[in-house]
Amino acid sequence: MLGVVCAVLLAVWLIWLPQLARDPQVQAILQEREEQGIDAAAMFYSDLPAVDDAQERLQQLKTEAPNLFWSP
Amino acid sequence: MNESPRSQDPDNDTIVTPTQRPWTEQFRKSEDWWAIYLGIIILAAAWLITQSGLGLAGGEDGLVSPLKGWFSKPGEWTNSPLESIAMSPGKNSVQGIITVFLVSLGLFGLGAQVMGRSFVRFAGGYWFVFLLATIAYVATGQVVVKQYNLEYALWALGIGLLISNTVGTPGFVKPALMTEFFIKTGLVLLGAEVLVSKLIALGVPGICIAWVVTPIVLISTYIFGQKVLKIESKSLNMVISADMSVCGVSAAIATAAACRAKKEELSFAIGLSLSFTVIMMIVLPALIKAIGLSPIVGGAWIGGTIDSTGAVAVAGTMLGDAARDVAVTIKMIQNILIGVTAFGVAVYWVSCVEKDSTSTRPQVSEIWHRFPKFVLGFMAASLIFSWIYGMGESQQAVVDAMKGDCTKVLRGWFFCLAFVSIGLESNFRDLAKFLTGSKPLVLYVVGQSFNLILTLFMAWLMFEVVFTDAAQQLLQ
Repeated sequence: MLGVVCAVLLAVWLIWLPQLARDPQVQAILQEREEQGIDAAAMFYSDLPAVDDAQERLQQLKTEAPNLFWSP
Repeated sequence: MNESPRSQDPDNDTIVTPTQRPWTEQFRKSEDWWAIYLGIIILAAAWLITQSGLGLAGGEDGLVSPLKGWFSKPGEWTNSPLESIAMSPGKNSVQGIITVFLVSLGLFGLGAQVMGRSFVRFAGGYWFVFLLATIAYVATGQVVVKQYNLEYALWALGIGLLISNTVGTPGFVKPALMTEFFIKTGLVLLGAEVLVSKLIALGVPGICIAWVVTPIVLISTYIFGQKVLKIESKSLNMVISADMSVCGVSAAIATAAACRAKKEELSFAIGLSLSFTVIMMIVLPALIKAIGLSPIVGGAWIGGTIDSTGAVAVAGTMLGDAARDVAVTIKMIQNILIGVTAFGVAVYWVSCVEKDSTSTRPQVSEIWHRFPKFVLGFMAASLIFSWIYGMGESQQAVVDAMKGDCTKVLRGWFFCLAFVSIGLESNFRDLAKFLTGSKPLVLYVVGQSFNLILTLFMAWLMFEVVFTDAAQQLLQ
């Protein structure tokens, strides 16, 4: 039973998924996400590079208008 | 001054099991205290080494810490799993993975030895658990798998379950299955990433969406589960409520440990959460576009409702840069809530849920003795590193480098080891019983529906009514 399941999982991970990953559309999505610092498997905010970029942009806004998010 | 007695029921497979010991022995032999000791050792050493500035130099990505490349995990791969591990020193390196293995073996082995286990027997099984955790990381790293937010927790559990339910967990591995120890130590390290200053990143809107809505949803869902659905297991109810309302897997781990949930309950809650996360990650952005919500309101809605941090980023990106920035910021603020949630749940559990046979409220001293002490380590790490982080840019760089190059990597490994251990100790029958009744599923669906409604209302109120200027600025 373990052998059969392992064989199936190996076929999925070593054959099917790599084939899917080579699709140009998938490649484009992966490239875009990497450029934007998106780690889809991130568990916590510190695992996500996109948070740093977001913080920088917010900080820029707050520098120009310190009360932007504190008073209506 | 004893903690409550250890349960003798072999089926009582809890994440945290109180033991009866004199207080001197507690400090030496309690798993909670050892999680704190190991957390202190790792955090202090990492901070001191990074702070020392040895090798700290400017680089393209900012300051480079002396720990960079020393601690690694398998990375992404496309065609072959061998791509996930680099032979040369640096990110995802074999050297880094071996270092993690040796350091964790030494630290956990020391703790195991002092707590009364055999280091040799622990080490004899630990390499196998670590190997399975490595395989889980490799499985997660396949780029297509990764894009669907199928986190390492799922694969670690799956690999463990596959072995335990087919050939059976080998006897030599069992001494190394210290699930609670791995989780609690990981949580103390996670505390250093819970930086209180991040709370105000989005000012009043962020606080209202993340810190007002979330506790309301958490408590309401729990009460619904107890009073309406009458879910037998309060801990299962609490873990599902927390992972749905706060921030997914990390919240589930912290809450499960705080309320002494069973390992199967944590596994089930995580499986439930990740399943719905994949669906919401795709459906919610499409729905937002279909009903014509502004990207800012949509981003806030996504951030406050989709459980997982990575999935929030993916979903937010579908609405544009501004939506993504708001979404990940809201989720970050919710992440900060983990510490308060774990602490609050722990206090509630020991003072209200775990009443003694006379049903009278326990004394303060009794609350202290029952309280899961590792939560204090978690909170202390958060407060100390929040304080250090607040000292200025130079300390911010040190803390960021320390986390990125060492403690965050170790935290991930410790959780992965924990989930492998849970899988190796569980069987499908234990998980299947949660599927036979529909109450947990109903709890999640009803709770998440309430979460969606309340978060949308708050996001609309904040960005369409009160802080319209801020919303305009965010869009520019």
